[in-house]
Amino acid sequence: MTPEEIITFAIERFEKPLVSYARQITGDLESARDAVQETFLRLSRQDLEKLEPRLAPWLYFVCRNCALDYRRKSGRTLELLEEEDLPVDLCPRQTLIAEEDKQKLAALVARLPERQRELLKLKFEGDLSYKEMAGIMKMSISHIGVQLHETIQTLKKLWLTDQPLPGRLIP
Amino acid sequence: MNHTDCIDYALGELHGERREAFERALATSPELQQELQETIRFMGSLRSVTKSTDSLDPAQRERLIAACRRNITSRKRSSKIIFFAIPLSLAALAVIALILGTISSPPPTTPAPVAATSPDEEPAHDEPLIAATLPPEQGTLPQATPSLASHASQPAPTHNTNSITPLSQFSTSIASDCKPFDPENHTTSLRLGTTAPKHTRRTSENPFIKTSQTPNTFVPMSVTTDSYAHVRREILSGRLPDPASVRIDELVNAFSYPMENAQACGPYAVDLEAGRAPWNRERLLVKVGIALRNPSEDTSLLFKNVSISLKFNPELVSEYRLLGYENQGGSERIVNTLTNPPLPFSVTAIYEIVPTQQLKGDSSTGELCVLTTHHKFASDTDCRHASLPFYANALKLDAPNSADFQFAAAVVGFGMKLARNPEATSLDWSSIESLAANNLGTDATRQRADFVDLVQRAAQLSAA
Repeated sequence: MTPEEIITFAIERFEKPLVSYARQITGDLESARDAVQETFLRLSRQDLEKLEPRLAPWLYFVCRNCALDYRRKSGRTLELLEEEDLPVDLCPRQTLIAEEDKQKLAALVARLPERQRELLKLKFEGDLSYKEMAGIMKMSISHIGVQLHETIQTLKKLWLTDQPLPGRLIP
Repeated sequence: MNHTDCIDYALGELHGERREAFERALATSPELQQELQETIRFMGSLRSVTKSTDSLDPAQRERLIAACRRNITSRKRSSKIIFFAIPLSLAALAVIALILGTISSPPPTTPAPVAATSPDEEPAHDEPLIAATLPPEQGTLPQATPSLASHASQPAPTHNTNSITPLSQFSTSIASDCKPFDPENHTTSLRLGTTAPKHTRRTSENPFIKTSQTPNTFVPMSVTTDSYAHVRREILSGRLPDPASVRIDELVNAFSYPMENAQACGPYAVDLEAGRAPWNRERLLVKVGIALRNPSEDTSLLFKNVSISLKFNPELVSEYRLLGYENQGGSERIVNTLTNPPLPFSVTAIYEIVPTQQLKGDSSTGELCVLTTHHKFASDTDCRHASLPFYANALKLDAPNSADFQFAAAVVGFGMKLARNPEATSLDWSSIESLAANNLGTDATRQRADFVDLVQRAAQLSAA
């Protein structure tokens, strides 16, 4: 791909995942958008042909740093949403079961600590490997694996049971 | 076989012997097969709930794509120059080594020449090379991913925690990115002094640049007027100046232009005007007037550095060249960043353009060029930008231009005549004189009237 094609592809493929990822860190959409814009601008200054094979981890790494900078600047200490902001698992009866299940799972994910939610984003939206995630989150590869296993197992267990939603999930 | 292997397998993270063992167990265990299916299904759900709905604002995306493309273009240009500059630098080093070698015994009593080029040539600015010494940007992956950080050409692994100016805080829109330079290590584009007096240096015209190949150029930010003082002194002493001492940019900037039609562009006042060149009706002149004022007394809002770029539209502009500012290495390589600019600061640059057929036609619309300003305040880590398009339908090709424009055109013509520029052969002294005399403006300092007198004297000296 030419550099122009790479940048077009990168924006098409990663714009939404990165905005969502950055928003999780900054806590608001506007600064998340700014962080993502900054990320792509930095990308455009790189040797794109050389960078192409590791585009996704590079983007997540830079986006994370940008978003953390915004967060530091705003003085926000964002661990999780306030209790009352957590989504509830109730949904109108007429909606499909699958949709209901999804809402429950989304509600469970929202109750995870920030780091666990970040891991899920990197894995399921970024399609990054443990190794790439370790580079981005500055954790060891084995620790990434352990944390992700625990997160997935906890979510799966709660999702499949009829237990009421807990206030916080700490896998 | 444990649950974590099942998760890792579903995520494609089980490798080598562990994977082989898992697949062997999978083949014989219906429970494991069911667990794997459940895990995969669950992960599908997880993937769908983590799916993003947030996105960039559509206008923001559009601007971003345009800015990224511009960055790619300017990066390509820089790489090209680096490609040529490195072998040249090596060659220069080799020459120095050779010279040092030949004069090593007896020991030299004078310093070895630094470069084999003519001493009256100004050192070329090396802005593109600065890119090679940039501090690493965010984006170098940390050591935890050795395979990713192993490229020799990559900067050392760092985590740059410099704060970032939120783009949403910009008062002006993002139009282009900062050119890749490190402002702290950057000098102004003021001409570097050499032993030879400036006004005796050889000048050569800047060549025309094809817009389709290089649409972007930087507007020079240096202002000197020495050449005008020299030219004036020579003419008043009864002789025409040495053609090599005539610098059109220094003549043009010796006069002040009120910029009555200026528009705001970031912290700059920008005045763009185009009209026919007095020496060739097929060519146009674009006058770019820039004035910079500090928006605040707040010291954090003092400018750290400023620069301005201009992008010509290849559909309307076939070729362009900067008039004056010769010997700065051509417009591709001019360093035009002013660090800690004195305030107020103003500069006027004149471009000569070859219009396309489309622009010559009556119904030409679209942008002739887009001017983008770049600046950093003392407290900024990132560059701020603002853009101002100059529309072709704003051109008054056959309507009279402003007095400032026409006076500046007369000054350019005067400079070209004195420099014995063949292009100005058809331009006679009397038309320069009347062009200047009819466009004195308010001329409170009578500086323009003095110029008209100078043109008359030059005409007489030339005829003698």
